[in-house]
Amino acid sequence: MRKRSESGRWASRTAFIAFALLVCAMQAPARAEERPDSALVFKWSALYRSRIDIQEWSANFPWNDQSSQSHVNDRLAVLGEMIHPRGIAVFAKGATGFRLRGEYQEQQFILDQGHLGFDFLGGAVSGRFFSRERVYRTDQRLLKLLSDESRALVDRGEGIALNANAGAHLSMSYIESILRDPGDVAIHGGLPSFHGGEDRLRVLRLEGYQRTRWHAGFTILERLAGMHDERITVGTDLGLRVNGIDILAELARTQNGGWGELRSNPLFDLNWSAARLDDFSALFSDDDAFAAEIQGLRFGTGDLGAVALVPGYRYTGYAFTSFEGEFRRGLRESYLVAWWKPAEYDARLTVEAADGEWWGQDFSRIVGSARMRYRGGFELEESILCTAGERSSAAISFIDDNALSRIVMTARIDDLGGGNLLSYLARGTLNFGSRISAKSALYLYRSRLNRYNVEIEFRPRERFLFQASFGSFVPWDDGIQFDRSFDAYSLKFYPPSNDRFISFFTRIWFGGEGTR
Amino acid sequence: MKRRLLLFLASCLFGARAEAQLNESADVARSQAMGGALVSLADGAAAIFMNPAGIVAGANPAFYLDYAEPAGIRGGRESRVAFAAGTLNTRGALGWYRFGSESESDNLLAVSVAHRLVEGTQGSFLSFGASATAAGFSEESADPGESDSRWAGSGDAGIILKPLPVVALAYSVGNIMDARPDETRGDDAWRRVQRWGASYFWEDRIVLSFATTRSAGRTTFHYGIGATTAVPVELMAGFSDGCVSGGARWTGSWLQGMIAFAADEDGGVTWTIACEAYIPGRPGTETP
Repeated sequence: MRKRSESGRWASRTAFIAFALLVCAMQAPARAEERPDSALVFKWSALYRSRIDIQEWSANFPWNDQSSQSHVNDRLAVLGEMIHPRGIAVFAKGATGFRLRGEYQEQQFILDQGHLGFDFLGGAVSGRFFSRERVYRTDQRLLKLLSDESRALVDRGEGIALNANAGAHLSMSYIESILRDPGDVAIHGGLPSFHGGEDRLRVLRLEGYQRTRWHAGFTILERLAGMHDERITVGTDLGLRVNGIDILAELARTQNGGWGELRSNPLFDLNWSAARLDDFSALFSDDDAFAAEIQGLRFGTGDLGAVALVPGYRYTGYAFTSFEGEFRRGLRESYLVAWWKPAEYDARLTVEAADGEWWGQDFSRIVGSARMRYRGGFELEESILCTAGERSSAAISFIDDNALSRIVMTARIDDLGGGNLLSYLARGTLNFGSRISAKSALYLYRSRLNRYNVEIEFRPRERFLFQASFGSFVPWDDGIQFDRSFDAYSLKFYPPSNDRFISFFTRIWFGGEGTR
Repeated sequence: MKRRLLLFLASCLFGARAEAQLNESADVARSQAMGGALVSLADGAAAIFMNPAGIVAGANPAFYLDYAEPAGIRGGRESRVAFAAGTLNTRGALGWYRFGSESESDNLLAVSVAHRLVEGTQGSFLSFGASATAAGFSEESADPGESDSRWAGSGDAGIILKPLPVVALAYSVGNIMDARPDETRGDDAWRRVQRWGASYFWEDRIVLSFATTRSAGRTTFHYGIGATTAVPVELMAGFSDGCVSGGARWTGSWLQGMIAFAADEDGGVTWTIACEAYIPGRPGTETP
């Protein structure tokens, strides 16, 4: 009985999507333009990469009974892409499989990535069938229900992505992606398999808009089985533009179950009677997320420059479990962003103030930052963070960028007035002509851990690259984030690894392009 | 006169019986920022603490002042003051270094003279410098209100060779005394400090510097890089003895301001602020 019900849902859903595509197709002739004569374009390339790492770890782990080890990783990738003037694009990349995670690192050759893209009826219907690609985004402005940055979406998927426009005011998009286990991928050689795939992601979005006045969207996101069982997220978003000012409001809700459960539960269960002016969040349940923002409040002040204000409000319930997006659960905050840009100088002063509650703890913070660019490729950025009940943090960055070199130095002091914990990162790239570069990085983590890295890069030809590096940390892979402007939530950054290494990297590339 | 000079040089090279604990006196702000790799880059009045041969390079006359609070020393404060003046090829300098904490204080007074022996084209030169120093060390004694104090004299000497516009080589030697030698390890109270270093100047914007310091049988390597931007601010970073350091120096028409830091092995960071003033446009003044 359940199977019949499931198949019925599939049929109704397929019919709905087909109907939407048909509507779009009927509208399309008005949008279609006569295509100019153009040629079939074919591109190809082959990329070979080899890396030899000699590492020495500071500690032994249960799965690592040696304190030092050497690795040889090499990878061959062959890419081909064909673009047909009638709107068909085929892309395929075959590669040896060392990008597969875990135990499936044997050097077998697999279809590492591929898609069949199409663009018909003057752009009215477009999309792609894809294999092992990351297609994780929707067009919401404030609530990112689906994000490429999500930690729950580390794997690439296979499936279909469709986008259809009906006239000038309606669009629909649909993504169905199967997130396969790396073992499955290895078994099938990377080819799409038409069975299995317990972990599925489906996203349907409808949006109506008139570009200069309003937009209204509705999004349904479903994640089946896999790590997080069956769960569905629905969201709606509205936007109005009045005199150049955008007023945005978005609401989303998560619940267990699939598409079928949507009919048995209310989409949005707002408690209007509990809402108060001094506690707007009482309107929402723990399964809800809400965000509102006003953009475009900009005041020109002539010679003094321009000032802009962006006020907003954000709420995410304790039980809002949309792992595919970018959310911080248990958050309620009101915020105001103000910036000033002088008329004559390339500078910007920004102040962000926020007040709210996170997991029952009240917080207030102000982040001030100033960014200035000078002639000759010099840039200076300063930031300070003040949080109620805690000591402040401050950061300053210098960037000097020219044909000769690129030097970036950033210092950050936490616990100002107390421990004065200094973190410092200096990165330098010196270009000895067009073929040789020397890079180095020095890192001090919170006044106590010191690290270094040195690298030589040799580029005798455009298609050949050789790098030799050694040091006690890898500056690009250790998640050093403090050199960015203060993000309100990324105050913590992690200590660097304590591993010494020597690494040799080679890249050889061939390629070409032809038309027919 | 020549005999006195030879005796003075001999005292530098073979260790005169001077008493002081002045290891830190060489850590002027720019040296800190570049990981201690400054012996071949020493210039201006501050060179009296690192390599007296550098006094003859840089601005003339010049006044240098810095202040630091060393990490890990309760109530510790140190400061350096130096003044250098003279002709294009011969200059004299006076310097005073003072370290004070809740329980002790060190003082170093230095008088230096430096001479440019050879001057070539495009900024190449060979210079020599020597210092006579008087060092004092005092600490609280066992008797309340009393303090033990000792003073002694010694000397430093150094040489800088810049054979090409892009390369500089340097060597300096001095004598210091460890006020609290570890007798259980058989540490000698006397330590001679020898430094040598090399620098590479690239397009007047980048300088790469390397130096070694040898003292008490231990050799320390120092690496530094400085990049002069268009603003003009010089960005500096260094690495020495497994510790990171860095800083920035702004140069105006008559004043330099600098901030530097250096991490130590114990998880502390010493900050130093410094300034150097000079009279622009005077004969013998080189752009810093």
